[in-house]
Amino acid sequence: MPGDRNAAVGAMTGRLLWVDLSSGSTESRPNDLKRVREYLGGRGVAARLLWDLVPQGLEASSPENPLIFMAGMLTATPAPASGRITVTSKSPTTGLYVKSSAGGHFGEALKFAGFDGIVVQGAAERPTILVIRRGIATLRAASDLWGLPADQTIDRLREHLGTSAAQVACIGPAGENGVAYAAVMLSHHNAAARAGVGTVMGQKRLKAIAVVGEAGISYHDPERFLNAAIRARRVVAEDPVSKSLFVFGTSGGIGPANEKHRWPTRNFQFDLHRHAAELGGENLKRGGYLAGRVGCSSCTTSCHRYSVAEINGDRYAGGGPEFETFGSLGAGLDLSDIRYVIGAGILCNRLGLDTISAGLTIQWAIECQQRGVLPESIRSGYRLQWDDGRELLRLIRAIAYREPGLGNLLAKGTAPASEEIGGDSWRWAIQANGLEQSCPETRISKAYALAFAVNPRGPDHLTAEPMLPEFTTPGALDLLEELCGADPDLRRDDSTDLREVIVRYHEDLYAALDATGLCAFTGTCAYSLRPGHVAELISAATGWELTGEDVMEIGARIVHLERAFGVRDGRDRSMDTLPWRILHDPVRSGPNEGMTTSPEELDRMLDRYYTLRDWDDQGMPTRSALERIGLDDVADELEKLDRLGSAESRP
Amino acid sequence: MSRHVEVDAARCTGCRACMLTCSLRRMGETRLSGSAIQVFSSADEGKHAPIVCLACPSRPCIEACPVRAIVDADDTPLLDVKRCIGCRACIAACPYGAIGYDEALGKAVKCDLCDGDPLCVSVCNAATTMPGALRILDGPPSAESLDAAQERLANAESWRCQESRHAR
Repeated sequence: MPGDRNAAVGAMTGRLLWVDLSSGSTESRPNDLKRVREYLGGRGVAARLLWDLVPQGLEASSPENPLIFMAGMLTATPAPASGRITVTSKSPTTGLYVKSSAGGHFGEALKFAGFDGIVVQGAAERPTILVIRRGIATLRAASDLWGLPADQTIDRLREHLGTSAAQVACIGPAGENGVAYAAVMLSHHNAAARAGVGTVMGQKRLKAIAVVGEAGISYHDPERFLNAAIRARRVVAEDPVSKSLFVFGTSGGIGPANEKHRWPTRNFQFDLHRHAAELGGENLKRGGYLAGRVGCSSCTTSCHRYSVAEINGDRYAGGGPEFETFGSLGAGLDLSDIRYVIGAGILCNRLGLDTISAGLTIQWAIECQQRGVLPESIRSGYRLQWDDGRELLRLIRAIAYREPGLGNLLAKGTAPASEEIGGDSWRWAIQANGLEQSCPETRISKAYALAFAVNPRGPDHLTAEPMLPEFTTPGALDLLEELCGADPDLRRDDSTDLREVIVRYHEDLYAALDATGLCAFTGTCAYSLRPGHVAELISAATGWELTGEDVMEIGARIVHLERAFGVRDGRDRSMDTLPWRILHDPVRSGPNEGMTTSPEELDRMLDRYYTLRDWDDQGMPTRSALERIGLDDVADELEKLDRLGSAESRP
Repeated sequence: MSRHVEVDAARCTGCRACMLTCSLRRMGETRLSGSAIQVFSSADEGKHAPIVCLACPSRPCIEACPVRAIVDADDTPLLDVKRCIGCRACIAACPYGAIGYDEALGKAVKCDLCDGDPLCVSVCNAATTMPGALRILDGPPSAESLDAAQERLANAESWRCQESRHAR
């Protein structure tokens, strides 16, 4: 039963809910303590479960592919910004491992309901919902919820259950209709959106999970934990980056990015957006669109916005837009009217679409039109041009409902769509390994380029966010010097030197933060918390007495397991790559004119990164790399499948 | 002299760090109903209402308690949890909805100002230059502050009513 303290360590419930949609059964099982010790929670425990449950080569669209929701180890505690939850599966979009994490209050409610996580297996025959209340899980028919947008699904479930304390994870029409980049929505605006985790939920015909959390979470040493949490909160909140994120949101960073000519517009054809002053966090505030700030569970920063805009008599009110949404659904489309970015972001949230892939796919289509390669039969009925907000809203709906023609084509994402259209259209599909890239300018920022190339789920910023060389906050300057020494050239964003050291630190710490449930804005991408702070929080909660080094080792273990998952399925060096345009199509103007991250440059960084990781020249982990962090069994399995890195073939 | 936790609801972001912290300090565990401050959010999370005892001058909770578990003190009336029988008379008497009910213990929950340095305030105002929704003020709450408290309660109830109407 939930609340069985014998199975629990501090700050965790000690239980996992296993759901088999094929048989319609649910079962509460202990959350294995050895696994928790090795992987903490969240992304870590979920990655291990996925490795154990998914055999080599499993089709991601198979009902056997699990969908795992795992709250952070410290979620539902007052540790700073600790409300993150991770959604993990094998992606039907990329065929790769995917973890997609989100904030909000769902993870908190799940733990108060008595579960650290949910493992969903099988597929339901008919649309289904899962309700967890008073420690009891029940599967019910989704009936009138199927077909509803995410916000209405959440509101109606709260009405049915009679409490606003219910937290809901659900899919919108995009997930039901099999759009390749459907999101799992964890509130009206908190999304686990990347690489099709919502597509998996749709394939399982699981419309929603509603959780009412009423129980408590206990601690090894409550007083020590309280003190550690308050100290850590102060460290995060005093960081200048936290303050800026509170005032302007994530999109406060757009002005500086544009000034430095690294704010991609028109599908990464240009790097300076002429309407950047109108499209960003400062104008959200100045223009009167900002109606409030929204904090995820236990947040110190509250970077989320709540925005309101009216477009032709329609009112759009909701969370966002975030930095990336301003990129993919704003600057990328060369929009000039901020209201359409607000509207498009909210529409994607309602329909359950990843804003990054939706925006990049529409940008790809407009460039196809610009270059005259889209057949009339497909584009008929749509205007495809830059800076057309009204048409953008139509296109988003067409994608979510897979309307015949263009909507259905774009619902597949840029890689399959460009294969279908043919010609050179793959060259301006801003994707690698089937995932559309997020908007950091990886032709210029080499740390991002390396991190994106080796990211197990494809090219984006959510396994490592190496802002370090760009930041001048005291925490960032100290950390860079510690990692790389004092050479001022290393602070250049376009330097390729020691990027492997920077990326490794970010990857390992990011994985550990995702496992504890702490937001990236505490330790990577902002630099207030160090591994030692995280270790003290975990130690006070559990009594384990971890050090900062232990935390980084756990992070490295997660990173290696995720890598092994890819390698087992055939990932090698050839897949550690970036979109074609980033590698071959230089920046066209401005101070960075002529820049790419060339294949040679990427190769050099990969060689050094593999060496640092003790992987072979194909990017496959060696036995010694895996055994060093206790992954002996993973090394054994890779060896059995002839996928273990060779100690003789070093880069 | 009385002191109270002053609330500026417009600055609340609904993170509930105050609730998690309060319940951990009071109960040694985190449990939302164990917190003496409650944060309610509108269904779409655009608006929030933190509700906590204001140490109001009238203090009807003291009179309402049939077992004298609430006693007056300089700062704020104090609830003796050991004496509380969970009858909810104080909850009904409070015009600001500021006394909670701990579902697990079956007893009332009331702010005691953490012996003078309320932790909810310190986790909300973690940074000196970034004011949060809560601060500690000397003296009794102003008339405007009491009006605002009633408005927060009305908001929270309207958000709840919408749901229970459909629940039936």
